[in-house]
Amino acid sequence: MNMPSKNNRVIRYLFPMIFGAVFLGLAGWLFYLQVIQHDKYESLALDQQTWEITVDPDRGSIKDVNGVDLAVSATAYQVLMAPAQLTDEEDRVEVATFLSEALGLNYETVYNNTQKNSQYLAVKRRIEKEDADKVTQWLTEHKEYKTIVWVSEDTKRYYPYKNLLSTVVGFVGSDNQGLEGLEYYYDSYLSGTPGKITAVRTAKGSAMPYEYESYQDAVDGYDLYLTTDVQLQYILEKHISNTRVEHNVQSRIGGVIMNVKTGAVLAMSSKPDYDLNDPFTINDEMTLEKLLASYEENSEEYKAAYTKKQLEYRKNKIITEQYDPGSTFKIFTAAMALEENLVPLSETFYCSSQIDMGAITYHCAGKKAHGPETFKDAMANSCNVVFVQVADRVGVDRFYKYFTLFGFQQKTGVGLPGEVSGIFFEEDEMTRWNLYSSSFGQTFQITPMQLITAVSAIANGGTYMKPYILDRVVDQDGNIVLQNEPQAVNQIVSESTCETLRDFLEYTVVKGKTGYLKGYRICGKTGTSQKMEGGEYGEQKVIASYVCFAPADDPEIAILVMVDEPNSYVQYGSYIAAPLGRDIMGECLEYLNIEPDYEDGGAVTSVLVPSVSGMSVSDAAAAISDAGLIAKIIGDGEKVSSQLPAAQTLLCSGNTVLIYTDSNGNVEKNTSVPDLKGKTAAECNSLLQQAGLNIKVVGDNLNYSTTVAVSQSIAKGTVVKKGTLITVKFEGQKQE
Amino acid sequence: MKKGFFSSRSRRLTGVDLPFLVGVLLLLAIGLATLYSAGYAKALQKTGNSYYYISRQGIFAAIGLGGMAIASWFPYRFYKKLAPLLYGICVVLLGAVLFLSNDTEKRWLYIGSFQFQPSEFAKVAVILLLAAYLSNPKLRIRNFWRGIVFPGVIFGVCALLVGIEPHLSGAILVASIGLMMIIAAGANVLYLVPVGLVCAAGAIALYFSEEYMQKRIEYWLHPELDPTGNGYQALQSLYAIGSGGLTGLGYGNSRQKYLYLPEPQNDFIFSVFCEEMGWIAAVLVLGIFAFVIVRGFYIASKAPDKFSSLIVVGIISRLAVQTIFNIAVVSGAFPVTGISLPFFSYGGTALVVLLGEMGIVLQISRHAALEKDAPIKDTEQENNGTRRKLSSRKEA
Repeated sequence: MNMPSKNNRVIRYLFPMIFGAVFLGLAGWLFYLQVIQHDKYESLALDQQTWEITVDPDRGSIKDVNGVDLAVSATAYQVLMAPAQLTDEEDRVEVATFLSEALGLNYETVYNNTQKNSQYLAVKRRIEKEDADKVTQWLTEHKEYKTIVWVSEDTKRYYPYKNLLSTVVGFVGSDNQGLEGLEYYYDSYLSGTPGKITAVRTAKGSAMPYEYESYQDAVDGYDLYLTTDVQLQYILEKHISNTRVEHNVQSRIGGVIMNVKTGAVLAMSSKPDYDLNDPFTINDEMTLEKLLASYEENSEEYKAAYTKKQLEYRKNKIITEQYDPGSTFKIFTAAMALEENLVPLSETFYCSSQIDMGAITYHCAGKKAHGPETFKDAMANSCNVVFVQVADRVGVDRFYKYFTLFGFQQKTGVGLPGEVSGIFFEEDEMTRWNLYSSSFGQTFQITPMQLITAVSAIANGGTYMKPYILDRVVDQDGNIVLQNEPQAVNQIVSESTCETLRDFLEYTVVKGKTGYLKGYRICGKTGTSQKMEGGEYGEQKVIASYVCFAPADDPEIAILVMVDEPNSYVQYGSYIAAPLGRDIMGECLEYLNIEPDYEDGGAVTSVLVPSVSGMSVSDAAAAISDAGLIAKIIGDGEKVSSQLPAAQTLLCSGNTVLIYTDSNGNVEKNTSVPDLKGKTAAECNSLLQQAGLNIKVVGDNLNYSTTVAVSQSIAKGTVVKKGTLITVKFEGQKQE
Repeated sequence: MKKGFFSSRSRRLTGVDLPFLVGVLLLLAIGLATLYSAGYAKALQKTGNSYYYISRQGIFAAIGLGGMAIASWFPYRFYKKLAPLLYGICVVLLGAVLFLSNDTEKRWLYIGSFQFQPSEFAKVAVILLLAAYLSNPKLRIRNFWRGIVFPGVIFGVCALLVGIEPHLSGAILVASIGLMMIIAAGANVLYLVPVGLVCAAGAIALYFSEEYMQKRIEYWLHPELDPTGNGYQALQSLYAIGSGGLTGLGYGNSRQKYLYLPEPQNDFIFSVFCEEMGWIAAVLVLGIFAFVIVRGFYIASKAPDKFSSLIVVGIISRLAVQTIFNIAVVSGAFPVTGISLPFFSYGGTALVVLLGEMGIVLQISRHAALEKDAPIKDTEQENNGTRRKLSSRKEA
């Protein structure tokens, strides 16, 4: 029987055709997968075949102006795990038990991690060497886990100075990313660029014998050099911490020190602050006591209040919060009036403790009547009555213009995160009465940073210097990536206005006494502002502040301290803030090698000549002697008819005040000025005393043995009245 | 008649169909080379000896080639007598494996240190018995019961036994071989339509009743939904194939074989081949497979009788279906199921049996009239004693 030919055709043609078609289809399908979808599958395959190991760059350091480390990265360790290779339940339990115990971790957390299908998982980062050694030791005893658990290097951020400058420096998070302060603001400079190692691994994690490795080096972060000086910062923080405790300060306390010539921030602090190494813990005893007094420990309320405080303490209140500057602002009101020639220095005002300006009557602090006074006296007396009148002359428009020029309407741009500007009136909405209250620093708010920057402008002769805290950025090879230079923004007021103001402010300090520092000529102004409570100014809570700069004849540094809610009996700025500012200034000047003005068996004190006219000669002599001056009585009358120098003149202690009695006789009133050139300070003093003249010493480097007089204010041989003040300029050279 | 006889005889003496033999040897050589690379990492991990798979497979290939030589000499007509016996033995073994094996998939029988898969022999037994049954000249092939049902029972029993091992792909393979042989024998294809419909309905019912099946289909279409679980194998295979591109990563350079691919030496060996050698080489291999298959069907169409023709159809169908099935699975065109690639995948029994089958095809090719103009020769008379007697009686 022949096979039917039909079936033969099925076998010979149909089957091959069907299978051939299917094979063609498969070839097409493979073309789609291998060629068209190649990139997609290859990248997916490489994703799982390759391990991209990130090589963390070293984070740059933050250093002070002298290169002292404020924030550094140090080597630490981390424990890593490849849980995908832990297939056995018993192994998972063993590994989780050991790791949780050795590293002080929660067992559940570690156990859950062991179940993940991952080849690379950090069990714990930033551990100390002891803990890392524990794991290494265990691994030598349990070799079966050697490819599953391993220890590798890690970096940890250390802040050697803990609380010091903490609100400025800030800290980093768990992945070394900056979270606060400079760490946050300059994170891009500090963090560097991570490197990468790409390696091929089998599904079990071991190396594949296949060339597919690439390296990309990590670029370490840059170092930041600040303008701040750890020593000055330490002085600042020590004093404000002490004051905080001494006066039981309820709210914030802060201080800032600035180089008036450059605008560089030398120190900056607000308290309470925190330890940068432990940023989530409050380490302030006062706060902890208060919290415990208010809430039950570990209650929900306690925790909430704790967290709130802790967040608050991370803020740098010098730039992130405003305050009422109070009378310290009178400096600027005076600057405007002087610059615009609105108040002759000879003009006498009269203060009866209050002034009626229509809708509102303004009072002086403590309702004190200052009586007749010059503008200079009004500054020293912090007389609101006079300043309201002066402000009236300045007017809203000019006041607004200068207010803006002094930088109170904008952020200073010091280069720190979270900076705010002041809160002030809209120009077209500002009334006369807003102006009057503003003239003595009430009804508006500015930041301490804004105030010290503006004060620095007065101190340096009228130039607004843009403040800065970052001096330079340096890469790991020492190349300077960025260098901040002092930046003069504009000349706000003239040099002569500043000179007058400096005279005013030096006078204010000497007269105010509490800010006075023996041996130094300091300009300063206190402020006591009432705090707004519920939209009203209350009397109870005040902010005491003090701003000062020195030396008066050539200012170098300015200091502002702000004490919010001191809780002691006397709250005035002059009693709390001025001594604080004075103490800081004294130590700072000493540290900066700015020597006391005159040294001859002890620092010379500036004193004010008392007014002795009309007194009995014996009383007058006693008053002058009490003031630390020497009285030289001229004539033989009973009563004092006049004095030289005049009352309220600043003299060095030990200087002579001539008292002229009502019966002069034939007393020689005049004298000839001796030649002082080339004489030492002691010789000058002695010569002038013999001639019945007074000395005022100016100049630098006064305590060198080579220091001699180079010029005198009145030429030799000139005949002058006895008691006249001769200003002598000294210069000296440091001997090698 | 005489010319044909001589032609046939000379072929028996001078040799086998060379093109087919060359194709088979090429596939075997490429398969072994691929196994060497693909199984290297897995062998090292499993046994500590990277050459474990290739050395064993080499020995099996040698045994298989010996078997192929013997089969190419062994007169095929004896299979007709042997078929029922072989079939009976295989059914017994398939039954035995279900009781004797302790594995979850009961495929292996152990006799001392020797182990083998009865299902591999069962395929041969099914082919031989079906060929014997369907080549019976008295068979009314167009009859539903004789042409469809009875042969269906012959392969169905084996398919069922393989299916409950469980070895679904094996069962499908046995069933496919059977169906193709029925069609080739000339059964009424129209009868298969309702059978096909019933099967399709059953499959659809199974799909909707068994959540397991739906999941399986879903992970087939979207392996990325569960890349580490149900979609893992399919996805890893796609990664390997896709990574290959046009020209591949180079021989030995597969990365997916490093324990990402499950069974890189067995079911997924072709993925490794695609990854290392690229699309062009993959198509070349597909071409060789297609050539062997087409040549096989050509031999079947020129076979000396219906019995031998159907044997070749069965053997070549098995080769074709299994190859397509495997490549479709590893390339994600079919849902993942365990099926190996002929000549490539590691497995001793399978390779020895496969080469034995190739030997049978070669044996039949010796008798086939493969010359271009050679008439289709019916040697049924020669081999069928009754037929000869009948004709001689007629002559007489």
